[in-house]
Amino acid sequence: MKDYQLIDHLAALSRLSFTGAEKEEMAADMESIMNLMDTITQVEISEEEYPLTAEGGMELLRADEERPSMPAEEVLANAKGKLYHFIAVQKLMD
Amino acid sequence: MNLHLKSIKELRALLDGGDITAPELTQYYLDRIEKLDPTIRAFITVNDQAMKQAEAAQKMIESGCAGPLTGIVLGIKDNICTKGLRTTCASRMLEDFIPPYHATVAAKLEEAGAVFIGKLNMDEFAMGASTTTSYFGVTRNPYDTDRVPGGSSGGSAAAVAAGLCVASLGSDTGGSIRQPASFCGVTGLKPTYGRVSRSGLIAFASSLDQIGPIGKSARDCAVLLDAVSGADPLDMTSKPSDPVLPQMGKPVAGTVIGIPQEFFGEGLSAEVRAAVEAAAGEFEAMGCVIKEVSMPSLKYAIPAYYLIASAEASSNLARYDGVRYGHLSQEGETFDQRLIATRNEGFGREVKRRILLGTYALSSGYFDAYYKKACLLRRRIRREYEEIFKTCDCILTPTAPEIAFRIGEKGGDPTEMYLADIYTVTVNIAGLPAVSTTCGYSSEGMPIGMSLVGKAFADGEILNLADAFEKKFQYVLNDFCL
Repeated sequence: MKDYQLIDHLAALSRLSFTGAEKEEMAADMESIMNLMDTITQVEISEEEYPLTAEGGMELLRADEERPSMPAEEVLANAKGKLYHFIAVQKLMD
Repeated sequence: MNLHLKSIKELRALLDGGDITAPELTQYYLDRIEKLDPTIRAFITVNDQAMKQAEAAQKMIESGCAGPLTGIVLGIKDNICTKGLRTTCASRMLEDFIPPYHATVAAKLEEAGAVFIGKLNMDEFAMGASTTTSYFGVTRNPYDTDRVPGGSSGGSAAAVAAGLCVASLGSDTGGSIRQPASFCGVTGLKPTYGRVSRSGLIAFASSLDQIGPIGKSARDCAVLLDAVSGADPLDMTSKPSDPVLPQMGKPVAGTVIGIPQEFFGEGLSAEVRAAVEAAAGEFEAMGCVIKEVSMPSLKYAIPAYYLIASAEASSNLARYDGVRYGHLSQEGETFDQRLIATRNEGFGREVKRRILLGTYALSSGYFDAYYKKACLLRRRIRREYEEIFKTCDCILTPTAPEIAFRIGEKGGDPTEMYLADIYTVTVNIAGLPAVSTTCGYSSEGMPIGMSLVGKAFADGEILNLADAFEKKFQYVLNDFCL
């Protein structure tokens, strides 16, 4: 069953929005996808058997020390809004 | 001289011997791109600085400083950052993004004197198996331009198959190097997780993503792999590893190859099955031992993979807000309204589907039933691989259930496309290396690929096996490839 409320909820969490026709398509897509995903919900599997502890394989973190960085102009080169050496955005509140 | 049919080793000899220069080789490929890419559409961006790189490479050659890849013309998947060269991830979101730094792999290749001929098409944010979700249009399979090249690294595979670059880099999160390599009749390696730094690879699913080579042969892949491998302080999951090239040419007799029966069940086309079984027979003739094994959890691999990958993607793609880089909508009065408009306009439909799925799997009330269950299944699949590797050196499977499908054939239900990944995703889930190489052709002349899966960091062993097979295999090249 298509769940339009769920699509609205997930869209809000994802910072997306869908118009009527888009929502209809997305609800149909998600219905089909969730039918496929639901095949694992009935699997009997426990954390005792397969512990979800952190695995090895990570190298040590880098030392917390100052390192050279790129010039601000380069870092800001792709930002659409700039003011001096800062990123400019729309106002967040009145 | 058909330079595009030559291996890296052969081109190295021509360059070092002065028979051709690096700028001549680069121009040769630029001419082929101009002639063929309007049909294939493998490239999103052709590098206008390629000739400058070639001139620098030529100086390295003339001064005796050439390495294996100096002057060799490579294509780079467009989700790998290249300093000063547009990197779009095949998305409107990054349509005009110029990275201020190189990915570690790009820096290594530049230092080695390789020439970047351009950036290659892919599914948007590497989410797809067809290269039809690219904002920049569909890439076509050189063996049949009505068919997809596979994906997400479809441009990387098609460019190598059509001779538009010597070799290329792709990325593989759930089969995105191996499946297009299979569809386009070339060789592609998904390295062991950690062998190649992911720094500068635009993140899709960080615990699954891995950069790897696509080439005309396992040997070409080995050369490229050795150039980009190694521990990197910018990627905490990267590790040092031994070079694979010295392992090429070693005897393969006695190698125990496991054949998991679940990979040969319902859904596998008869032609693919026959080609892979014939390849198993060829390995047997070389003195390998074929052994039947089992992976009972294969039936859960697709949902487990898609839940984990989408959950990680929903987090990774939260960064696209149009503020620091990328598309910025002109709609909306407030910051939030503009943020939502930016993401609505910037992302395509498949990316939005995956973000919603990942958000759902991580959200309150559903986490245990979906994401946590998927993580537990990931452990079970890893353990099943460990069991198999107690008695086998590697595993042989089909790369994809069928040959390259026609463009638009799987456009309706998104799960049809997801199920096409059935034979590749377990390798990413387990972090193992796997190489796909051509093992046959369908009655329509389309390539069929098989995959050899190895133990962690046994990339050299599976490349050596693939190389041994390739030496005996009779390739069929079509007009585009010639």
